[in-house]
Amino acid sequence: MEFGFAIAIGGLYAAGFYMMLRRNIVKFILGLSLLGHGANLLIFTAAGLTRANAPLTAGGSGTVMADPVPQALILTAIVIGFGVTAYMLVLGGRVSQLSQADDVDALRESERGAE
Amino acid sequence: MLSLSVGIIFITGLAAPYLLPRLGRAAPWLFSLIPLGILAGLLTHIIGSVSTFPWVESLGLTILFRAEGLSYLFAVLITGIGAVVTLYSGGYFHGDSRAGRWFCFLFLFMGSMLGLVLSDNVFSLFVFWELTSITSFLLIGFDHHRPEARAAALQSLLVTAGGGLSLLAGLVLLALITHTTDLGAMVAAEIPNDSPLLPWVAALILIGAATKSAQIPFQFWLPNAMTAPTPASAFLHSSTMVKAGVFLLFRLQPLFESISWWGPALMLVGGLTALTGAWMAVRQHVLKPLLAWSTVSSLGLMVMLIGAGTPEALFAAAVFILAHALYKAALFLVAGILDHETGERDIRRLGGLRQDMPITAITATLSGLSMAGIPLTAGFVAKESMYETLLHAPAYGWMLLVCAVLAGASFAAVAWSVSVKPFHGSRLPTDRHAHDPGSTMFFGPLMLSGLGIAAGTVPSLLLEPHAAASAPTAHHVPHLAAWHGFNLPLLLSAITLALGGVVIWLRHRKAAGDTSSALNKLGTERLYYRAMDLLDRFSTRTANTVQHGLLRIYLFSVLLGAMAILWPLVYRHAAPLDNLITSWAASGAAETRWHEWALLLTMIMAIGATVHARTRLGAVTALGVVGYVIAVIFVLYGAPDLAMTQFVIETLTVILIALSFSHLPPFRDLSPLWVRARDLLFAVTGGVVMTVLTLVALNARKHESVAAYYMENSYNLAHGKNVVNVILVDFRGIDTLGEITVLAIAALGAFALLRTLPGRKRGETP
Repeated sequence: MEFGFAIAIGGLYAAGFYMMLRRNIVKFILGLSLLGHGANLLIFTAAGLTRANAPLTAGGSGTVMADPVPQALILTAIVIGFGVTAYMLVLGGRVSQLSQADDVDALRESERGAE
Repeated sequence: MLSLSVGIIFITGLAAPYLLPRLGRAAPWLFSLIPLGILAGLLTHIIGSVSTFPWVESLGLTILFRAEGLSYLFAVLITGIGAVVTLYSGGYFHGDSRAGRWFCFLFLFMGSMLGLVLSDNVFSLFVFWELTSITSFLLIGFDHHRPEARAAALQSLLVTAGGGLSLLAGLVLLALITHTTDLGAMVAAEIPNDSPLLPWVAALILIGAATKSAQIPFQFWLPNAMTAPTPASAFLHSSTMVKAGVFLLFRLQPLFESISWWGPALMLVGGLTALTGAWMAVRQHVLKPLLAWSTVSSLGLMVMLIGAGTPEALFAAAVFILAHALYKAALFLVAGILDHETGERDIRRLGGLRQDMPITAITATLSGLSMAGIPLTAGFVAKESMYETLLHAPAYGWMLLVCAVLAGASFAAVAWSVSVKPFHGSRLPTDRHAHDPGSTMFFGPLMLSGLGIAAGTVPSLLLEPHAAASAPTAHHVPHLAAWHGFNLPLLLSAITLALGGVVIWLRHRKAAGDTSSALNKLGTERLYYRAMDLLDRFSTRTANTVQHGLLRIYLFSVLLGAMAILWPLVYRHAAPLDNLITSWAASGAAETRWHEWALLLTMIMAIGATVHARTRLGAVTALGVVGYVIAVIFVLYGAPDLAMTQFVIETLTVILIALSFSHLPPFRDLSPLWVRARDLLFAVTGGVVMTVLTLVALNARKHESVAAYYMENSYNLAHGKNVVNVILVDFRGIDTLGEITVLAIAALGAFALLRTLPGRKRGETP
């Protein structure tokens, strides 16, 4: 099972890398999102996959339960990732609206030093 | 006591801006009492001659202050002239709102300079050396609203601090050779003559000293530094700081004596500097550049004498250092008075001020006599002892003598220009009503001038004891006298004065027509500007190459770097990967249920669809599918909380993306095919690295999970049954607070961006 997951994680990362290297601003944000998914899944898998019960103490002491620590970590990551994506979306939307372009290269004038 | 003295000066400097308004008119007098008190302590030997102060004890660094010999002479100079300049500044900056800042810089410099000459540890010496460069920068750039002041300040800093680096390298090497960091111990150390590093040390230290003391080819910064307020010129740029290089060469002279080129190099550099300074000085018509070039010339003479290297020459150098400080500081202060009271700096437009400024005229005359080297002045005694020494110099004596006589002639001409020309002859009109300044301003220079005469009349009083103490071998020091009778040095003095007279006559004749610019740029300064220009162009080009503004190239570099670091790490741990994969393939395939295979397959197809989609909506939908599949995985593997969060957030993200970019055209292929192919190759490689990383990570657990602790204590300590929730809101509650803050900031940012949409801007025409 883990083998399949490892391939899926590789796929998510590869797609994320590729999309982030595009000039289109929307593709860049989609790539960032894919990269986030890949990272979450990597943490989840690396912590050990188990078809156990959810980590609830009510389940009694005998039952096998999933590790709650990576879950807490991923929960935080999902929410922060959403915050970043949402902000990027608004910023990207605003910038592309102002510059009338979806090409990130069109925005580079502001980054150039004095000639 | 010595370290306390240095400390008190620094503290006074820092407190000056606060003290000044509270002390009122008495402030300059009270401030000048501090260096004066230290001077009194030094002269009466109440302040001991050695004082240690632990600095970085773990490195064995101790600040050892030692006021003996040359250090003592310089300490006396710094505190004495420091007291005069402090008092003078009170009048110069009277009613100026920047006076507090001025006294702060002045005292910081004074403390640094005192620390420099007293330091026996070469590294504390270096720190103080650089501090004097920095305070000099601050003082030169004091009128920071003037571009030329800023340029001159920067130039002096770059030249002297650059030389400081060379000095540091030299001192480090020297410490390695001699196995000590104490200056006294270094000089006394027995260094094998054939030490291969010693010539390098000498060269590096010579460069450092030459930058500080404005020797050729670094002479240009000193005249430019004359944009500083005059008290700074009198203190830093004639009598003390610029002599730091001379001081260092003087102290280290015994170490480098054995190097064959050391003496000739110093004589050459010093002699050329003396001649250049003399030549440039007699071409100036503005008071301060005139004095500055003659200072360059004097510094050259000092270096030349050190190069001659005999005990008599060193003794003569010490006498000259003292005499020069007395008359040059006084003349600078007189120049400041003339500028301050008449508003005129060009000597061609100054004349006949004798009647209106009698005290200034007397001060100028006394110092001028000393500078010209008229008998019964300190300048005369210094010049006589210099000629006497050079007449008996073992090598190159007559060449050095020619340099000294020519420089002396220019001093006589400069002395006439500064102390005779403005005060005699017909009265020329001035912008301001000329009158003598207040007592704060004339008291100090008058004292220095008077001392110059007294020291020249009775050399055994001031000159002889101080100079004798400085010479390394004290037992056969020549006797100084006010009058040696008619001999060869006296004849040379007469020749010098006659030559000076000729120069004055030539200048007087040419003065009317000569309007050439005051600052003739010499070759080496052009080199400085060319270097600065090159540096500018280099940095612009580098910035434009590195900061190209192409996001994807930045990203590419970052990712490439990350992969380059990750790959060897992963590879090292992936050795048993082959059997891992086969065992997983065997056991895992059987274990995996069919719906899990279906999920993974769906995800991989959705990933492909996201990348390949031709429309925005298609890509966003495919991304949503990826997110939902991950959510289902969370459900299957015991993480319902994650699944719920993922569902909500994925939905929100998809909606947001679809809405945010509705104004944009559909996807186009922006990059050419080969770029896409290159990126794809790179991305796939990166993906493979991450896959291997995952497999390695699976096998890398070394410690037990901390989960057991949370499982056990979730209910007992935090009264919550959902362990994930308890971790988030209780065990790691502060982290979650931080997360909430991040979200709040993102929301605020997004809100601010959305509010300023062009269409909604108030009062804007569409």
